[in-house]
Amino acid sequence: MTVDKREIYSFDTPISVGKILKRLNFLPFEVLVIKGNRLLTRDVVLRDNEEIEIKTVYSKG
Amino acid sequence: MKCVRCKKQAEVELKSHNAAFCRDCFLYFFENQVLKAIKSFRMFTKKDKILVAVSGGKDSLTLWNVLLDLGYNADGLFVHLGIEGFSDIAKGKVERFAKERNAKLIVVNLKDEGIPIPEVKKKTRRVVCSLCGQIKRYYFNMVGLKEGYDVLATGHNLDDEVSRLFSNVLHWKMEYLVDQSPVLPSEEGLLKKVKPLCRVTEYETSVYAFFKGLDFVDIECPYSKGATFTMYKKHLNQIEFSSPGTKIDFYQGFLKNLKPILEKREEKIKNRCKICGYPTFSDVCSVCRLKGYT
Repeated sequence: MTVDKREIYSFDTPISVGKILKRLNFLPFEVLVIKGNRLLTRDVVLRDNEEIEIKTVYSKG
Repeated sequence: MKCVRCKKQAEVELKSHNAAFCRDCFLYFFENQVLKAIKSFRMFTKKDKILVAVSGGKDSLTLWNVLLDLGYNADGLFVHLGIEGFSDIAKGKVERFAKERNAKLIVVNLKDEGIPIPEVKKKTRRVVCSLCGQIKRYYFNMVGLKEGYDVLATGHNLDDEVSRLFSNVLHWKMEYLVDQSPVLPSEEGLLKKVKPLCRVTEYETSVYAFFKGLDFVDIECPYSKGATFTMYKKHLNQIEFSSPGTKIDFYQGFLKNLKPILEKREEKIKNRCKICGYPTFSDVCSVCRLKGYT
């Protein structure tokens, strides 16, 4: 999984997207959680070796 | 989580609206929010010639895209700031978008105007972000008037407006509070200015840009590090998380309750710059002063 400046984190599964955001100190509307070409909501549970990308949404001016 | 409109799998959760949406229903929701802002604040109609201020970022490209999709007559204006490693990338994104959408794009290059931002930064002790904003507003206005546009549209979203309001209230900047509005009507020498994204958040704009596959500038302006508004946005997000809907209530409450009182005490600008005619409080406007006129 990639977080903003291309940092990679691993978590034990199964784990929900909401729990991952909480552990990384993100509020749900501060980031897009992307899997392939879809966005994931907080309740989605990741299993096995699933990978997601997290992108912050702040304007970069 | 299911979409509240069609019951398909949701991709977006919006707690402030007590809703979740699938992709199609979110895009419908987003366009409706923009239309609601345009209509309720009487921003413009399909007959008007709209100039969209585009920076290459997600907000301005989202605005231009949604206006074109809704059938508005919207052209783009890009101000090349002359910032190495940033401005050329932004220009490329904007040009590509304009080409793909077959839309008209006007480009102003600050190097040609004698005031590229790196040079301005050397000349002044003031915060360069505020001067850069002032210069951009000057050219948005001048080009818009010269080219016969009815209205200038900018990509400010709800988070931009709320963080600005928060800052202006914290420091009681009354002169800025008077001017804070989704619509600033035209005056002599000043083009009408509107903010059609004032009802949608930064998150919602990002989701729209993602769903539409917009290719925007994703790097930070090298001069904007540590901007105060970004810090305010983070604090406001914490409040919004604990109490969903606070941001829009704060903003709409200001427009409904405080703005009408402030407008009564507004001091109108009476002077015109003796060089270029731009409205100003002094004899020569700040952009002409930067160009060396006194």
